[in-house]
Amino acid sequence: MDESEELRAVRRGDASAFEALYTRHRIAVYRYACTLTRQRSDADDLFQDAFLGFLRNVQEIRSADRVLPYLLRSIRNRHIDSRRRAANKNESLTAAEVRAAGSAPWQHSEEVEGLKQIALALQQLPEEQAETVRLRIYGELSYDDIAIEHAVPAATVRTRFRLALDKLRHLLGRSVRDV
Amino acid sequence: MSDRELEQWLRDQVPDGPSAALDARVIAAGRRALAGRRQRRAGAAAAALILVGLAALSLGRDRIAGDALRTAHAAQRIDVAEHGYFELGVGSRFAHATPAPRLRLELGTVEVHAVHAPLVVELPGDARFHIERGVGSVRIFEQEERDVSQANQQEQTLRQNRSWPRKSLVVVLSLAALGIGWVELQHEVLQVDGGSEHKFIAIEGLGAKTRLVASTATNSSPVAQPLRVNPDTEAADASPRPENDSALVRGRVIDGVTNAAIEGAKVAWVRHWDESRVGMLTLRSASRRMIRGVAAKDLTVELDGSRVDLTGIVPAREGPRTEIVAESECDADGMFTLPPQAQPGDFLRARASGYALGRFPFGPEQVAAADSPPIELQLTPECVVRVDLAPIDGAPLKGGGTFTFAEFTTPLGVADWTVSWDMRPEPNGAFELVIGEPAELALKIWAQGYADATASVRARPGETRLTIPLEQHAHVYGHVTNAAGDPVPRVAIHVISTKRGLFGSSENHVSSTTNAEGFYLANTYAPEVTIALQADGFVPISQVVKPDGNALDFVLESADACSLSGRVVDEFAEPLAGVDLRMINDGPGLIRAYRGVSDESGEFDVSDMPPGAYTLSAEIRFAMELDPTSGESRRAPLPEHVVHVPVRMQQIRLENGEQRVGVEVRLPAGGRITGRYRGADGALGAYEWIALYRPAVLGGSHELLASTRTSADGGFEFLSVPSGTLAVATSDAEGKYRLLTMHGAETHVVEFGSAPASVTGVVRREGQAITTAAFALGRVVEGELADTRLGSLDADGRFKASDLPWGLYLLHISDPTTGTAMLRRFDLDRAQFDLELAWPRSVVTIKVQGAPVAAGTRVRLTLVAIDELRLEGVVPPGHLAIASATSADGRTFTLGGVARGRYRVQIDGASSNVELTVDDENAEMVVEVPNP
Repeated sequence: MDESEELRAVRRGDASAFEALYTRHRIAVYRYACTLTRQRSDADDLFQDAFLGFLRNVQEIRSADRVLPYLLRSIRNRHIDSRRRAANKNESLTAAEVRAAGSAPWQHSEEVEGLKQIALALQQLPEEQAETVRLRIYGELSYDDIAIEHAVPAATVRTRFRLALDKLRHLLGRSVRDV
Repeated sequence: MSDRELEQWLRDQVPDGPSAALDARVIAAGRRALAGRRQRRAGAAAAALILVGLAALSLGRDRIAGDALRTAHAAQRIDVAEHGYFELGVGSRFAHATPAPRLRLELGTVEVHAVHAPLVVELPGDARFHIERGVGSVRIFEQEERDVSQANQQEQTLRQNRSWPRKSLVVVLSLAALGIGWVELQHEVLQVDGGSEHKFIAIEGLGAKTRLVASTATNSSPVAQPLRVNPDTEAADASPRPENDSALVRGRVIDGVTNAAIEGAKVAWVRHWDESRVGMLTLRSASRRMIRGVAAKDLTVELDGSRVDLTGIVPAREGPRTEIVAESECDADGMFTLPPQAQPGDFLRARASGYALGRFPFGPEQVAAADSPPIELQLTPECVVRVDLAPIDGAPLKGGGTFTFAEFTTPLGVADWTVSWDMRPEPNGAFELVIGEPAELALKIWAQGYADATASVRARPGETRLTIPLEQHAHVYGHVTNAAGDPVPRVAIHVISTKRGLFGSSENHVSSTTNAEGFYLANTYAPEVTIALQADGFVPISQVVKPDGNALDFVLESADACSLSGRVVDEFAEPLAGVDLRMINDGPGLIRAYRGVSDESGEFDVSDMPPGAYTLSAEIRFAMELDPTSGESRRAPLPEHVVHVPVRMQQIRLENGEQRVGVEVRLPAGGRITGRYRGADGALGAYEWIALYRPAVLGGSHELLASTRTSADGGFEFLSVPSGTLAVATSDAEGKYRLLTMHGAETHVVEFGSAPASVTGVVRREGQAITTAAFALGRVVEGELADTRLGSLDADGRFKASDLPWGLYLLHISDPTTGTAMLRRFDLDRAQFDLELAWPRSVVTIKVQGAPVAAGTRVRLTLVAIDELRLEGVVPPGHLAIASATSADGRTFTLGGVARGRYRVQIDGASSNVELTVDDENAEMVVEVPNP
């Protein structure tokens, strides 16, 4: 079953086709979500949400090669939404709440230090560069796909990516050198 | 690092993918969503069903594969005849991430309680439907496809089009609150005709308590009658919650410092769900007995054969979760009321603007007495830390704060756990940190263009102000010229600063090179840095400077290449070929190694080095072999079984242009390990993998030094083995290994295998082999002797035993001519074991205290143990007697040749309590024993 056939099958309600599609995209979508949220727990929520949203709107997806971009965009939109909701609630978390809501001490080590570091470094880049890195390295999109997503020429995407890498190399300096 | 390597590194830092549990969850949810789609496509319309009588509750038809979702579900039967209706509570902490829980209501009455997510109720085909009471907002929409947030838009459309049936209303219910966290509606407010199309309503609002009634289609009354399951209880229920209103728990929220009432404080009654909970379903009876179901996924509740389908509830993640049971807002006197159904472990969470979040226990003991005084909840004012980032030059913060972020670390005193989080200050560098409780904070500021700053502050109730000065990055710049004043391009510049962080310090390296004009520029973070300059043909420079904004110019002294030559020998002064010698420059800057390899005569030459300090290291790395075509010797890789570990030799300083010759490098000779491997069947095993490790010390991993394959006869060998404790290991199924300690150039023999072995040996006394003694040999197996062999020494004084299994043995040799005997223990761990024994020369004198013993009395020493090995019960009694003697005076007994061990003294067969230990087989000792 090729990917377009698979997408048609998902539209018909074929669960095994969905499973195949899920298996193909799960890693890219998840890793992308992680770099946005910095935390696995939040990434888990976005991730599940994105796939279920995909199923709801599967009729609107034009072709199989748009599935992954759709999922990634969906993750991003949901992430922005949840950030906005959190801001609107005007509930800046106090330390006690952070502590209460956070994981228990023994779970703290699960917090991926490297992930946090990368997410923070990405935050310091201009957003279009950071997003290019997220989509390219973690979302596994091609330059052309990113170009479509960002509505810019593919050459611009390449330039952004290279600039971003240079900055990351500087920002992550010592960690990278220690490898 | 290339782009590709960097990309790979970035990839490696991020989790590999979703967890198996998440996979299972998403696939399951997906399957469910698709199943719903298939059903709708088939146009299946469910028949109207009636909810009556006794209900068999069957929770959780788990149709989903995947271990994570196989949760044991409770199956309960509940008697509802006396209650008349259910309250159906559906909740999931993560409801926002899921489609709204969906309830298909046929005919009957369902009370919905504590719906955290919007609950979508599907209206039956031609039934009428109304909501008897409820709180929150109710929306009606037509298409199931949409989730509730989208239904909002649909609602707007319906209002505009007026295409919705006239009687149908979109109502937002908000009636007077009773102050107990929920409100009630006493009469019908909403009625919907189901019509031929399925309609849906969504009920939203925390703490919603909505009673839904579906009535028969045949009833044409505009206001449908609720279907009475049990008229009596229905009537009883008409009085609104009589027992609860009287039992409300009252409390007051006050300022912990001033004791003033806090108006508008919100008090939430919070309950923890246990860790295994995956979503929740509750059913309540009218008498408020709560029956809580477990995981709700694709849930079908069967009520006396009728079904209520609930879908769209996903399992919550594992871990403790909380749910707000009820909430109340404090009035002007700080008073609040809450219903009293507290369970052990519940707590109240009180929050008010400007105060730290407060947590208070709210178990049954707090609500036990209805007439008890109000519970008093004291809130402490929040700790607010206002931080200003102030560049020390007084200029506004560069970069508008965009590239500034701060990390806060709070040690919690729980082991070493700290909580840290970060935030971005305002563009002017100010930010505010609100801490719930007083705490010691460590702050770390990263701001682009400034040196990292750290500060610590104690957050106290109220406001604490803190200004953190930021130091601008200093630039280090200048020109590099040669002695003639010409610029030197391509000089490698390293600026090294030591950064002191919260938890130790680290070195920061910034590198730069000079351009064609000899100019360099490097950013630095520290007030004091080490700057190192390196360029081919020049003497390297390294110096500590304090960047002060002024140019730092350097003049490089041109360097003449240095060289080092000499000879590598082993400790017997024999030349060593194939030794890799490295001169590694000391000091800061680029690390460079200059290499040379010794030839067959051990000669080496390292040249073209700049002057400076070096560390010379040497390592046997190559084997020299003869090139068959040219006839010259050439380098070949060292065989695997030859260990090569670099040896750090010495520090050498080369002055400008120095050509040092005649350096003798002496490599310590390594040891040798030889051995043989036998398989389980006893056959010599060829091509077995044998590895030599240096065992890990205090954790860490074992260091593999060398490995080899056994030859056809099972033999193997390691050469050039370093000193220390080593392990030789096999890779066979048994994973056998031997530990040994190597000293210098020793040879160790290691044998693996369980094939029959043989033991030979000779015993010497004063250098002469004993030929008169008898021996007994036995293997110690679980405290008993097995495989015992008896025999006499041959004419050459040798004893021999063969066809022995491997293991721990005792060897007993008794000399009838002297009446003495000795015992030895040894590990038979090789096929051919050779023992070289010397007869003990110890002399033990036993002095009898008290009256002398009778003439002819014998004193015997009975061996009790050798080292840690206890022998009583292992060695036959006859063999235990090691030595015996008689005395002429009845007082002094002298026994010669007592071997190492612990003995008990027997006098004329009577055992005394005296024990003696012989450690030194050449010593004399005197022991006093009372006369028995």
